Amino acid sequence: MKKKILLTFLLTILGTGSVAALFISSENIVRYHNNFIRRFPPHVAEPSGSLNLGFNSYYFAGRADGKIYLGNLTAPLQVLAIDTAMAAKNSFQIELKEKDLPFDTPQLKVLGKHFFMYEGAVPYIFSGKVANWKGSLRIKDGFYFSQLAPIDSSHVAVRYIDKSTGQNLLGVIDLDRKSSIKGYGLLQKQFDGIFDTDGILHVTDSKIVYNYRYRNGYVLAANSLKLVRRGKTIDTVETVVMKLDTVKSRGYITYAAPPHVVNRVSAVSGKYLFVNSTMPGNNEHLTIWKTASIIDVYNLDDNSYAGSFPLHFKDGKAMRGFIVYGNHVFLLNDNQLIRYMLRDFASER
Amino acid sequence: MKLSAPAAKFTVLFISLAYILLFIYAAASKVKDFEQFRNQLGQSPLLSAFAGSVAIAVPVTEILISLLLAFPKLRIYGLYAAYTLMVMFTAYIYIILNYSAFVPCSCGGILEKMDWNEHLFFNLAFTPLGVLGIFLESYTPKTDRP
Repeated sequence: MKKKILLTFLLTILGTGSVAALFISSENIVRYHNNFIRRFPPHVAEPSGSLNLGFNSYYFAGRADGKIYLGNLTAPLQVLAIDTAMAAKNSFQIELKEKDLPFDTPQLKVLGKHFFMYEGAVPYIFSGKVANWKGSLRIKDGFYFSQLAPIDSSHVAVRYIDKSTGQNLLGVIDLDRKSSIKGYGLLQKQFDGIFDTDGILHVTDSKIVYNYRYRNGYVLAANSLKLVRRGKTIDTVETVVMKLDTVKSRGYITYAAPPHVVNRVSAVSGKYLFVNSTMPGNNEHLTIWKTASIIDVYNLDDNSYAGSFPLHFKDGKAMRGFIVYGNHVFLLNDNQLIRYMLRDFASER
Repeated sequence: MKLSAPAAKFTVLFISLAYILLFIYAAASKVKDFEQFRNQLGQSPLLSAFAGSVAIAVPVTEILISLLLAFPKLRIYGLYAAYTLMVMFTAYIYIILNYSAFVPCSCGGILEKMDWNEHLFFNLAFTPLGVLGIFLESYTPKTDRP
């Protein structure tokens, strides 16, 4: 009897211990450190107010004329305009002239005095003026696209899905001439050209910025899609860490292991690229990574790293998106719109 | 403990059968859709590095334990092994629920329909059965002893 109690007890410890050891070793493999070093100048970004929006379905559509514009995923035709002081809040309803399209999840982008409503899986693009929020159909055919960033009132940058290869492809659409150009070779394929070239498309100062999601790089191109430079972020993930698997029995391709996201979300403002990285650098306390999203700032003019700052979690939650407007950073976190003041630290170097 | 020898014997048999049924069912549903199972293990935050070997080891272990449980002479080893495996499964679910960055999905058949908390309760019910089996196996009431 005694022997049985002892043995059962030992087996309990062994079973629990072996699983716990497996977990700890796997966590260590996943969270490996890279030999790069971040700089955190003090007080770069300080929280300065927040606004309860009541819903967590808002996303950033753009910023112009002292206002930021929020789209709403569950009410796609609704726009919320909030001034940078977060004092005035106005809601608008978009009117689309042509209504006989297979609308599913229309998305909104605002640039200057113009807005763009689009859905790349149909595909269609409406545009109109912010003054009256009336949109008319500009594009209703062509390649499918999955992201859009306006360049000016009649040009938009898109990330196409190439019809013949299914791979990601950057393009620019001329909404007046209904024509498009495609930047073959801008995105560099590492193994499949679809998953490995995933990233986030931005336009700043009429230049196109494409920030890879799974590797330490971005592509900077002119609005003619001529390559300006391939830039690097400070982490060391040059090759996408991803394994794909075909589940033939159920007929789909999916991740064989969780993909290693390097750049989670990003934003652009003027000559700066702001990247929310997921990779802790050397000599960094991991505690900050558990309480804040870390933003690395790069100068697009010379591909230099300017420094980093944290955007703190709210009630344990990370922000889901952010934009930079003048000396403010705005972020969406759950139901909240949170504002940070940004010090011009980059120019002090 | 007041339990007659036949009652103890019957309880152990019942527990062994329940474990055999569970393990054979679990192993069969994993083998039946092996690709899916391996893929799901790979997405588990605990196992992605070892998915290939674990995907084979788990159903093989389940079948071996069922064999041990099926033979009366080997039953006690089977009970120890079954208990240990259940402890490991339970620890795995507990860690996934409490410490993992995200919660994956990887079980087959009817268990696929359970959520992780239901699964934890299911396991917590099966684990003590193993202990009971271990202690009742070759149990003889004191009065019966020569």
